[in-house]
Amino acid sequence: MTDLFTPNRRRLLTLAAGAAAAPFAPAVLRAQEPGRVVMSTWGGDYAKLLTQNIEEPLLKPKGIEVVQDAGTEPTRVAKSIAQRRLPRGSVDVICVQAPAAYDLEDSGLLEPLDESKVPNLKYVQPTFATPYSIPHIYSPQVIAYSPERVKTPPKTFDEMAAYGSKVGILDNSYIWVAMAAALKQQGDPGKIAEVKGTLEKLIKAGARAYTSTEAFAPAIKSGEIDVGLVWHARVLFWTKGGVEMAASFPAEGCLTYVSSMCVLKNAPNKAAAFAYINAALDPRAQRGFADSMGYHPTITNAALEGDVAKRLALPEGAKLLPAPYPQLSAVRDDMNDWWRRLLDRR
Amino acid sequence: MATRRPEGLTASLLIGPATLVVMLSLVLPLALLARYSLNKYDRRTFMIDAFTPENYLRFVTDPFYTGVLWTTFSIAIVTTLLCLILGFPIAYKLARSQTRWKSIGVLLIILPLFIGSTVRALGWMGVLGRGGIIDAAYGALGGSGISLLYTSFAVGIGILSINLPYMILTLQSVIEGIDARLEEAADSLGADPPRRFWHVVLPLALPGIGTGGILVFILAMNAYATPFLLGGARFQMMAPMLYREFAVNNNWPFAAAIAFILMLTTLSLTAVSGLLVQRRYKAQ
Repeated sequence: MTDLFTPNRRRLLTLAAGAAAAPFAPAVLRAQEPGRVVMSTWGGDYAKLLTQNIEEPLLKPKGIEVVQDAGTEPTRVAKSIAQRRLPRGSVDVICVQAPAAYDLEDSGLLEPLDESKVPNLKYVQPTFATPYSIPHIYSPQVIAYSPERVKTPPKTFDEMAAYGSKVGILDNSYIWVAMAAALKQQGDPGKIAEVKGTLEKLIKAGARAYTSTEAFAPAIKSGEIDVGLVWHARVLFWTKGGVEMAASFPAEGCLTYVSSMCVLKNAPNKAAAFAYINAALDPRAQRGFADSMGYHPTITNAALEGDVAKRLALPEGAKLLPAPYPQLSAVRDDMNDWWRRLLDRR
Repeated sequence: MATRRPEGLTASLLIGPATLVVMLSLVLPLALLARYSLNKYDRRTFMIDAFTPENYLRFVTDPFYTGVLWTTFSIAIVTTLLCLILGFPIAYKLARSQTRWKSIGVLLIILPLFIGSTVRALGWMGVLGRGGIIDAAYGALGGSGISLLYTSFAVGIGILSINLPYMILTLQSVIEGIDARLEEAADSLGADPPRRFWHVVLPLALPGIGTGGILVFILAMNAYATPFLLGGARFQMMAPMLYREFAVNNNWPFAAAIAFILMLTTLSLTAVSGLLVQRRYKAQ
């Protein structure tokens, strides 16, 4: 008993260390959200890079085990909607494109985010910030062209559209082409339905529509097409793979692809979910994605260096715009139906 | 005798487990799908419980959708007939062959089935696309570039190449069951080869033609990867359209209705052709 009250050097040091750590206790506790976080994500490279850049180096040391639920975006969104009435769903964090994040928020499925939950939010570039999701990575929409056959790179949507039958459109992102047309011709990317005529003209002129993104590069290579709107990251990826391709940034501005992460309201482990998306905004993780996938960091404190910085450099004065999510959401179903009928050649 | 188990009971016990598996894995999901097809789609809540025929009506009253069904049907019929015309001689030759080349021949027919349809469609892309083998050959002959990709021809040839082995193998086994002496008898009675074929071989092979035809017709009606990859965005068939409604637009009620329309069309056409073959067979 007496021993307990006998001060000695070691005991004093232990007490002092404990006292010194006390102010950090909440942070330490928060940093050690134990257990499992279920990450609903696309499969393939993106999932692999999440493991390499976020889960292994940043979350594992904190004792957070990550389980990936990989699948296509609409399927995963459908699952989340189907589980909306359950008090505890099966997914903590969901990775979706920014328009789908808007839809999820619109359906009332997302947990509001702020700096007390996700401290790294303070570094997010204001253009991409939303109160319901974090922008994980982004890539501007650029005019990809063949430098061999296109001597004067098109500088606007209209200059690109003038290539007629030599324009390539990715079927699954045709609506982004419509928004780019609306930005140039209507001065507002939200006036999507107003540019139906422009797309119709383009298709009638013989513009090609590709069902798989991968078909774009061979089409440029073989001379089937000369130009087309794609994500900058794609151009970098294909150029790295040896395809002769260059990017021109439209003068009217670039609509931007943003890959978002959101926490669901019925996430079983919210603390770990916040820790996950906070780690996704860590400069190390952001640089990792820029290096391997060619997507730009969404935070202000992850300046790129060396070769990556050179490859991803945006031209002076490049205007980046997030898509007009509410307008996009309002017209999407009708536009999809209209687009299918337009493409049908019978 | 009293201890002998009734035959009916033994039979039920034997087919019971299989029936249960089919019930659980096929009938239940189908029943669920049928229920979904009567619901309403809503972007926010995904599906609203309802009991409405509007998804079916939307399909049958819209020329766009019925047109897609018609394209699918035409492609399926054309490829089935081509499978039959191209497959019969090969199957006959294989069935009547007695040499050691027979097993090699059968192996050559089976070999393509080892490769998935997606991989084979990608192969066809390399053959038919711009800069592909045909384009290069055409260019070498002085042509100015030709791309057969993203046409109904590309889809037709893709489906044909996938379905042909099924037809050949089905026909081969049926032709092998036809006694060769019957043909010899026809010969000895003075029938020339075409007459022998029309009056002896063909009628006896009819059940095989029916089975093979139904098999490849169903496969063609439901083809997904081939029309998706070789037909491109501008060529529409049922299975890719169904998938798009289900997995891209997330409109499960409409996708479920499309699934049922495709299934019922295929089933009724199959049943009709089965009846026709049966009637013809009995008439012989």
